[in-house]
Amino acid sequence: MLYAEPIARLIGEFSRLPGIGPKTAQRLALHVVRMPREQAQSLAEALVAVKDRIIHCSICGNITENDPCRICTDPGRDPAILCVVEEPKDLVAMEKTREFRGHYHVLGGAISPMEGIGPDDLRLKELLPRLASGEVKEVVLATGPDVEGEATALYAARLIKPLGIRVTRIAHGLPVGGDLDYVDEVTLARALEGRREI
Amino acid sequence: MSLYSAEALVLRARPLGEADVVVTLLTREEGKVEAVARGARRGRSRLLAATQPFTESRVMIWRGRNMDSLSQAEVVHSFRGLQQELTRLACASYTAELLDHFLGEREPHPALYELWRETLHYLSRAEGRTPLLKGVHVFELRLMRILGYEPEISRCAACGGELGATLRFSLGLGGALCPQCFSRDPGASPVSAGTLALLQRLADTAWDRLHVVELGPWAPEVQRLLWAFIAFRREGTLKTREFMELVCGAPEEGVNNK
Ligand SMILES: [Zn+2]
Ligand SMILES: [Zn+2]
Repeated sequence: MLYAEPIARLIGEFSRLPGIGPKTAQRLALHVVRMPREQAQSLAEALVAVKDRIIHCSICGNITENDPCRICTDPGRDPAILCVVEEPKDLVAMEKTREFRGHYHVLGGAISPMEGIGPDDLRLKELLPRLASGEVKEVVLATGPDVEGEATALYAARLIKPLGIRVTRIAHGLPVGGDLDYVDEVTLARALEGRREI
Repeated sequence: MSLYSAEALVLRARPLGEADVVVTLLTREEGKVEAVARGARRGRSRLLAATQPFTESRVMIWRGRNMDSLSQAEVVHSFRGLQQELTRLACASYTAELLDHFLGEREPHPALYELWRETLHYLSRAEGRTPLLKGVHVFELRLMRILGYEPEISRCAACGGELGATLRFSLGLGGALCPQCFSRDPGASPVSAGTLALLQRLADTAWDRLHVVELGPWAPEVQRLLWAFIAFRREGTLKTREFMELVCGAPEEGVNNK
């Protein structure tokens, strides 16, 4: 053991985080050693507070401090349109656009047959009861533009369409400010599919 | 470190860290290869499209000490049809997992590359459950053939003699048995002549002629037999099979529907 036990333990904990390799974990741990005690305390408390106070909204599945969440209880939002996303971070991305004023449904992931993640592992079964009242007129499928996102959107569409509700899929666009000849053919073909009149 | 070029199809892809993707490629030249595509998940990366499962690309790969890395990729074919139908996607995922399951790293099999490419072409255009299922079984049979596990279905797997009217299939002996050889494998299970004939036709019919092959009443037995055969050759569960059954399995309004 090259490091004293508490440091080795912290390195071990850091290296279990996504995207953090052993070298980064070591650097972070040594950084904590140099931190003022109050800062380390505050970091530790922040970690625990997230676990103690953050829950999933029982309606939309977003992470929240209050259940139902702020969006689900907001009377200013349009209950006729529901946007389905994979993760809370996707909801945040949609909110940043300020374009969408409907409600959300967070699936908690995407279907990935290769990884053994099937429809039952997602909050898809919670989606149908939300559509039963007839209040929702359109479901926007905003899952990712990758194979998993497409699989999830196709599966969700299969569930929702028999209910007679309009199902739409967000268009796959081109990056703003880019050159057309720099865009790969798949993105370009999809953007062409999703073209609109101007 | 050295740079090599290859024709590659993406078997699977998983994110690594903030911006990277680890892809498992089936290359014509090197067989199955794992490579990291650095920065592929940054919006503008040209590597992103080439790291999507099933995509065929011309790639340049750096051979690293620990792991190879994808340095350039040009998409040749994206098989977009696969992403238009859930059933197609499910079947293609199954073929990918089956390949990943059977292949070790860097065992070049140009014939397998060709087989999978043809399979993806077929699946990306197949309409309806039955044509998809046929494509899957053709892939399974030819995969076994290329890997040298081809089931013996035209003569007795034990003595090489003619097959009679009563037949059994032995997983251990790798094929059908004639009545004289039933005792060689007491575990061999009865199989119908129609099933063996269908297997033979599936194994031999060209992709563009596959529409003339009818699965008929033997479809369930063909599927059971092939899946038992695959499980016997290589242990382990195939996660994609459950999804394929979930998505394609339930007979829907009218068979051969879209
Ligand atoms: Zn909510
Ligand atoms: Zn025999």
